[in-house]
Amino acid sequence: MPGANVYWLGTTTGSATDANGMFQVPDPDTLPAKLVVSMVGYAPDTLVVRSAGQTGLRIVLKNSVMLNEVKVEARQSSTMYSTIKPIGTETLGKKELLKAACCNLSESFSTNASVDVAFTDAVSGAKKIQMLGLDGVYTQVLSENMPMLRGLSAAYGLNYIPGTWIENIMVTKGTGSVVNGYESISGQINLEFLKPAEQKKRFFINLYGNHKGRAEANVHAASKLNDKWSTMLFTHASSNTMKQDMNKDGFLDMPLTQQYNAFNRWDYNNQKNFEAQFGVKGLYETRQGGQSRFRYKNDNGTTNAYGIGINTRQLEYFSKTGFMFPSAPYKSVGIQTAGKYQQQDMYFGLRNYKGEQKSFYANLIYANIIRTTDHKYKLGASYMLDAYSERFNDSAFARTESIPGVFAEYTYTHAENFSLVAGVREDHHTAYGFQFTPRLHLRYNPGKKTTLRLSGGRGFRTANVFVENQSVFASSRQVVFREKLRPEIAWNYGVSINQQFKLFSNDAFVNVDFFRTDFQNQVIMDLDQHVNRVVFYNLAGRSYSHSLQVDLGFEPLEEFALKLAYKWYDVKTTYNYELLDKPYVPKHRVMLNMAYSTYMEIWKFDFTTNWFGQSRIPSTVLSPAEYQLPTHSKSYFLLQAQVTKKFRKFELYLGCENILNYTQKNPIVAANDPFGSNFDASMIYAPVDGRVIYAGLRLEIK
Amino acid sequence: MKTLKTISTSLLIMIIMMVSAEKANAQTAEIKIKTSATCDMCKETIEKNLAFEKGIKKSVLDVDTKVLTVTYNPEKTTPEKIRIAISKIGYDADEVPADPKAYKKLDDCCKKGKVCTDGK
Repeated sequence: MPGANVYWLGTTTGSATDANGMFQVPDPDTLPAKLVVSMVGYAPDTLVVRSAGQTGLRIVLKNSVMLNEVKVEARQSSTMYSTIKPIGTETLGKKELLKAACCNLSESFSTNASVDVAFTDAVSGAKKIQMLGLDGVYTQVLSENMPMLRGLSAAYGLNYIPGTWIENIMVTKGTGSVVNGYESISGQINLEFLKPAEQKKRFFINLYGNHKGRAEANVHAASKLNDKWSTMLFTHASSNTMKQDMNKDGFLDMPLTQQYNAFNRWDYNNQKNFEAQFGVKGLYETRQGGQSRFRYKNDNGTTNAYGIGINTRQLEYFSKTGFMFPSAPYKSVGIQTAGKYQQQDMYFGLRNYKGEQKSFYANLIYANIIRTTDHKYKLGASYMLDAYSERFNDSAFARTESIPGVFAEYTYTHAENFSLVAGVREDHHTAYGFQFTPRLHLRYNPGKKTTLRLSGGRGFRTANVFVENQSVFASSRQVVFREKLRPEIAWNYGVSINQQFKLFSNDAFVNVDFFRTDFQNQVIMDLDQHVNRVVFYNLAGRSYSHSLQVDLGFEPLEEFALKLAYKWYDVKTTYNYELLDKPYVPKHRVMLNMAYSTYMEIWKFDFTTNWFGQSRIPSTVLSPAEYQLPTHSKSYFLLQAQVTKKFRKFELYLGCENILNYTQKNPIVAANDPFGSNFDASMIYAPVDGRVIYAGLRLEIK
Repeated sequence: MKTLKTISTSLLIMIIMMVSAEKANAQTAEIKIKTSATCDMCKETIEKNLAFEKGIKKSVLDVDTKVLTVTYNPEKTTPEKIRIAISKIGYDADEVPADPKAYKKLDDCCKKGKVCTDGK
């Protein structure tokens, strides 16, 4: 391969490969020495050379996934902080994803500290993620580097991605790369799905069941058709058919659900200069909850019984093509396109909502270098189209957003220990005009085991009030729009330090980061003004989030890993001229994860403790005394454990979530009078569903 | 009170996990077995499959010398049983020849006399 850099680690001695991919480097000063081979678009490799004058070294670099940053795979530990990437990223590998076997991605972060899983309401059973103490909508979720979970699926989209479909997840806190658009504010989560060409086994089956009647099946089939083509089919079906009401409030603890989900992808690689990937995905889901005596046929639209229903349909496609230049491998052109149709129909008691979104996305990226691979740049243009049509009760809303944009990103790398990524983009929004998005990332390694990072940048998004705050509709609160809502704009700044060291003669690390998010405009959902109202308006005053996280990871014994994390959140927003803590965001949190596995992972044990501190509950002073809530929630623990046993041909797992069976007492305010003015099922800070015992089977067939 | 209970439960589980991790390394013996493995792929097959046998703690194959070093619990298995297990995976183990049925199922590059071209 021509144009690759070959040099001795920690020195400036080296050379580049010639047109035939051959190379010669001067002998190093000391032996053994480490030879580094790097190349844009490939994962760098390091090999140890023990004697001088060696010839005939043959080095094969692994092609990294098209249009991606260099991919760092988590081989050793299940979660890995990168020390090389200019943008601070935490990679959650397959191993980490298996720690909590259930079920979809909104739940799989329970063993990870950077992403929080938040409870939404007492009836829909939906879960939401949070980063830096901010709602998941401020986190840009990418599907293989394309923004697919947007608009109507921004808030709950991760519920529709089965965990077994995923190869790894890359979590970036703070601002992301401009190449992926302008929407990331508090973070970026990139999902890499399984790649057909990398599958060793042709079929994979996962069956899951829990004692509360939830059943789930995931089946994948992969096939390598020839040297160039490979394809993979992912399917998922799940259902919850058992009615449960443990707290006897007349409402189902979890809704009855049915979900069918399928994804088919095709990968083409001519092994020379052209790669293409494309796929189609379809989803159908129904949820029905509310009072257990609710029957849709007889009771919908009446006050006989309170019911909620959420029906979601999605159909999407994506395509990615990449052209490389064999004579100049650092040069590439990539085109990404995607289209999505999504529909969501909901009812909450007498309230109705119907939403539809058609979107199209295209992104063209050109990558090259300036003279040497120390100076890389990406230039490109993108186009985004979103056509929304929504109906809430008797009001209809429609809007079309058309956003063309251009971007440039420059990456400077200096001698392995310093890098800088500076990006800018300019987008033109149909309704809100030009939007300028600058972003900067710096990395510096003062020593081999220390990584310092700084980041800063601006993010921009338009809110979809109804879908993003759907939980609040599970209440009698009157919905009030005080004014026309403007887009949300925020700046985010972050600093982090990662130190690796030896403890008990094993690898250990400590990671400390601090982020500040400052909103210039935010769509405020005000629950404090009046207990019978939810008021939406633009931010008037300050709104910010401070987040401090300390992570410690070490292995006191071989095969026994401990992860301890502490998080401090200070998230404040101006509600009606008063700066208050954001409701339901605990100020302090602690997480402890312990993992032990025997040789070759025949047995795997995993145990996680989460402690949630107090959080503010929106004011209920105007409620009648019997419906008033305390001003702050109680602190509580959530424990979960899982055991996995591997057999020659399959593996079995058994686990328990919420071992202490902790639930919020009387989660629904005025549950006895769901059509009265005090009813509220959205005042939730802790689980509504108690202890869950589950078991499952994973099977791979050649 | 509840908080204290939870913390102590978590600590107890941690200690149990650590103790069992310690115990797993207690009683061990080691043998070296000459095999008919030829490449890294054979190494993976042998090490992975042997892990499922009773009493095996660890096994490491040196591809160059074809010698497999097995760490095992002498109370649960014997060198004879380990050799038979290797034979059933499809490889010769010292004087025990490879099980013909298992040998047939091996990948072409792992058969005797073959040389793996790219190390995989």
